[in-house]
This record gives sequence, C-alpha cells and structure tokens, in this order.
Amino acid sequence: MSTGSPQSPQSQSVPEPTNDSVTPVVPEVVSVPDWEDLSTTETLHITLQRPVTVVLPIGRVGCGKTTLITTIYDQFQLGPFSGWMFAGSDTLLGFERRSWTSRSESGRETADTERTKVRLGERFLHLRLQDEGQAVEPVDLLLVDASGELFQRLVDYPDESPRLVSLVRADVVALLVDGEQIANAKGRHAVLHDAHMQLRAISEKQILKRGARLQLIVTKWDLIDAAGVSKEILHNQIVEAVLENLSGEVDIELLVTAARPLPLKVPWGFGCAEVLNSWLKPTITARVSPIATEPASNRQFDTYGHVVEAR
Amino acid sequence: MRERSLLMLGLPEAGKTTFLAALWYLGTSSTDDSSFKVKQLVGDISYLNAISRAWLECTPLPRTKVRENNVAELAVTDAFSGEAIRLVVPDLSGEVFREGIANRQWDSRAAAAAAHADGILLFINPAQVASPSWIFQRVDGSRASLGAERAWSPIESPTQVQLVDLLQTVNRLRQNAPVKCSVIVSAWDVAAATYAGPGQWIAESLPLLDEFLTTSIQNFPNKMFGISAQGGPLPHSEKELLEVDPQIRVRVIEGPERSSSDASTITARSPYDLAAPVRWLTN
Repeated sequence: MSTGSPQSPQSQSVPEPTNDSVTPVVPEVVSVPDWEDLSTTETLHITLQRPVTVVLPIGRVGCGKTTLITTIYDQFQLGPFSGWMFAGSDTLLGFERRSWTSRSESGRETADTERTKVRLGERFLHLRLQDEGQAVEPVDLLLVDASGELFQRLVDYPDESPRLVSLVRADVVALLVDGEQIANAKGRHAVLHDAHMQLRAISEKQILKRGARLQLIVTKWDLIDAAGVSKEILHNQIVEAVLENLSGEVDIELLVTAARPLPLKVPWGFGCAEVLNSWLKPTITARVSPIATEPASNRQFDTYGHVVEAR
Repeated sequence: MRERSLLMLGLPEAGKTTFLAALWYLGTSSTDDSSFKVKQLVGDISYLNAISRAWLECTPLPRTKVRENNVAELAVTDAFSGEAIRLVVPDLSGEVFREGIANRQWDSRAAAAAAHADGILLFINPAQVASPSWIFQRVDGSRASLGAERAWSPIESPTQVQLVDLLQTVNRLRQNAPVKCSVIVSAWDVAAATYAGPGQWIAESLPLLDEFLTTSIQNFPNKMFGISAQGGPLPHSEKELLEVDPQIRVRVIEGPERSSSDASTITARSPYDLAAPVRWLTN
C-alpha cells in the first residue's frame, strides 16, 4: 500500500505542444495521479464536489474487510455488477494493488489479501458507479480500509477519543464477523463477543452521525455452511451474542458473504451484490429491540441465504 | 484554416503508426473513399512519406522509439463540407504511455498533447489484451502457479485497467474539460470473424473499459471503430496484400456512439474510409 499522495497535475503547468519534427528529444516528465488509496485530506477533492456515501467496514484483523471491498471492485472487471456500472475510481490502482495477491498473474499458488497495516491509519478507496439504466446521476462510494487493530482500540481503551475520523463520517458502519471463526467451536464465542464489544463501544460513544446505518456482515459463509453450523446456532449465537445488552434500540441489517469461497461451494463474490446494493440504496432495516429483555424464541430469520434480516 | 490537434493514445503495438501511414497515403491518393483529402503538401512531411512508403511495401513498420519526436501535420479538406483543416498529430511511442503508467510520470509531450487535444484516438490491439484471472477461479481447485511469484506494479494491471488509467489521467490533465474520443479496435481483421462489431468486442473483451466509456459521455463522448489499417497480419500476409489495390486494403467498421447526442452519426463514406474516426472528432 502506498502512503504517497496523488500528485495534482492541476498545480503544474502543462507546456504547449512542440512541433519539433523528427528531432530526438530527452523527454521531460509531468507527475500524474497515482490512483492509490487516499488519506482523509485527500478525499476532499471528491467530498467537496459531490455527495458521497462513506462505508466503514470494521471487525477483527483477518475477518475479510479488505477482501470484501476488493472483491466488489473485481466484479466490475467482468461487466456490470448487480445493476451498476463502473464509472471511474480515484483509487483504481489502490484496488489493483490489493487484488494482486488473488490474481493468477501474481504467480501465487493460493489467493490471499495483504494485511492492512495499522500504522497507515485510515485509508479510503473510491468507486464511482452508475446504474445500468443511467436513470440517475453516478454515485460515489468511499470505502474505508483500516486495520482491525484500530477498531480494537475502541474496545480496549474506551476512554480514548476514537482515532477513526470515519466513524463520525460514515453513512454505513458494517461490522464484519469472521465466518471461519464462527465455524470453529473454539473461536466462536470469542469472535462473537469481540463483535458485540465493538458494537457496544460504538453504541455507547454515540458518535455515529444521524442517519448512519449499522450492518452485521458474516463473512466466509461457505465455511460456516461446510461446517454444518445450523441456522439455530447462527440465530442464537450470532445475533444474540452480538446484540445483547446494547443500550437503546439498534437498527441493524444482517448479510452474509463468501467473497472468495472454496472452489465450487458457492459462487465467487457470493453475497457481494446484496452488500453493494445495501451500501448504495437506502434499505429497510428491521428494528431490533434490546435483546436482553426479549426471549430469543420471539425472533426469527426470514432466510439464511444472501440476506438475513433481523426482526 | 481551422487547426485541430489530435492525441493518438494507446499501449505499445496498438496500431497507431500504421493508422497514420495509411491515413496519409489514402489522403494523398486519388481515392474518393476518404473523408479527408490532403489539400496541399506543407512543412516537413518526410516522416509521413517514410511510414506510408513502408505501408505500401507491406513492410512491418518499426516500433516508434520513445525519444522520437514525430509530429505529423496534415493540411486536409473535409470531403463532406469542403472545409480546410490542419491536423496536428504527434506520433508518440506506446512506450511513452506504458512508462507513464508504470512510473506515474508522463512524458511532457504526451501530457501537453493530452491537455490541449481537440480529439483523442484511442487505439486497442485485440492481440495485446491481457485479461484478469483469479487464483480461486480455477474450477478444478488446482494450486498450480504460473511460475515465480511476482511483485505488483501498475503495469501488471489488466489491459482494461491500464486504458481506464490513461483516460482518467487525460481527464485530470485536462482539468475535466470534455474531449471527443474515437475508440479504434485495430487489426480488426483478427476479430471480425468472431464479433459482430467493435462494440461487441469491447463489451466482451474489456468490460471495465466499456462500462467506463458508457458512463463517461460527459467527459469522453465516444464512438467505436473496428479498423484494419494494414489489411492483414505481416509478414504472414505480405504476398496477398501486395496484390491488393492499396486504396481498398483497409477496412473500417463503425461501432456504437456514446454521446449526449441522441442520433447516431454515420460518418464513413465507405468501408475504406480510414479517415472516418478522425472526421468524427473534427466534425
């Protein structure tokens, strides 16, 4: 990942074309944008020009935040995705860099995602998308890519001021829970408790902007499926463990994904279309009352497919 | 006389110089098929004469070198309107753009041409397209690698990403000033048997670019062309090509137009009108 800021060619004077035919020249150079990920300040040239939707995926290190973001970008390499077309990206090569370790051209034997480094703080990835019917203006998404360790600080040091500017700017906060850990009896309770604590830390701080939406995204769904974890376990342990004892009412939407599933288990990018649509469009979310006061048996899931909506 | 500066944009071996060579020949020949006729011979036209000579001899044109500073100037007459136009077309090496992608620094000649261009000719060679593929897409689940692991660099990006990179950079250099873009799928004879037209080829072979062009009509009103400027692959087809009248060696297939204009404009005078993509820019 680059920490360098994109160059601003506007600040450089572009010389008039020369007409010095066939004379060998020693080319001078002009810096051009590197299309890498953006710092908070570097997003201003987007946010000051037009409305954007800021999405903040949070969760443990390795839960799949970067993989989810990168996989959604990669889908556009194959054509319009979920009714949306790629209309540009100020972080085109930031996406490419992140996707590289999953590409055959990298020479790797297995796909991987490079860990996001905590020292880089919050980095933003940009996608400009337009609906296939071109009925509405293009929309801009800013996706936050930050190390899970930064979010862990929210839980470990609750008295600290949050170091995440994006927490206050986010339109959508997506709490990712690692499906691989859920599928594993040893890690299940700890990962769910972590998710609960992160949600609780956010909830208690009351720092989300008005109208911000909360999502719970269970990643690596194929591994849960393969482990034979039942719907009851998903219901009882994921939702209740994460949401119990939260103060006040919480609107939360549940989704499941398998961005890079095991071969032939579920399609590549499983659930990513629903996630993207949920980021781009206002969604009807169910209201979840404080779970501690409500019997578990009163809450059911509509489906356990792509979208699981809590009631 | 109106002057129009054009930028020929494309990766190495995309067919830029071959197009220019054939354009010059057809403009100076007696054919009635060309949208542009060379009105008068002015300035230093030695470069144009040299490349069109090689084109007529069916000799593979040498790849343009990075340091060469070939700027073609064509004083032409629009065959439809009779208007005299001076075309200024720098013939920059594809390596210039490739190095720009790799180093994030553009040759100042390319940057200047992009910033001030009145039209862009974007060249794509179907034989040079690198499409992305993902490790976990291997259906058999095999773990076989393609060789030693390689570090990422911008130049490792798929062709469609590199082309979007070029267009986005042009847009930034122009400070968002709109510019028309003729998208030329070169060596069209290679793709013609499989695809109905350049629009279909781009949609299926370079979907990310296709999406970008579809959604960028404010900045890049565009029209697609399939062009066979050489007439066939060299040196394989040299013998056959030498037997063909040079005026009908080329082929031009028009593709979809994406612009704010509702009506699609038909610009080619005939299937041999190689100047059609240029005229679409200057019209």
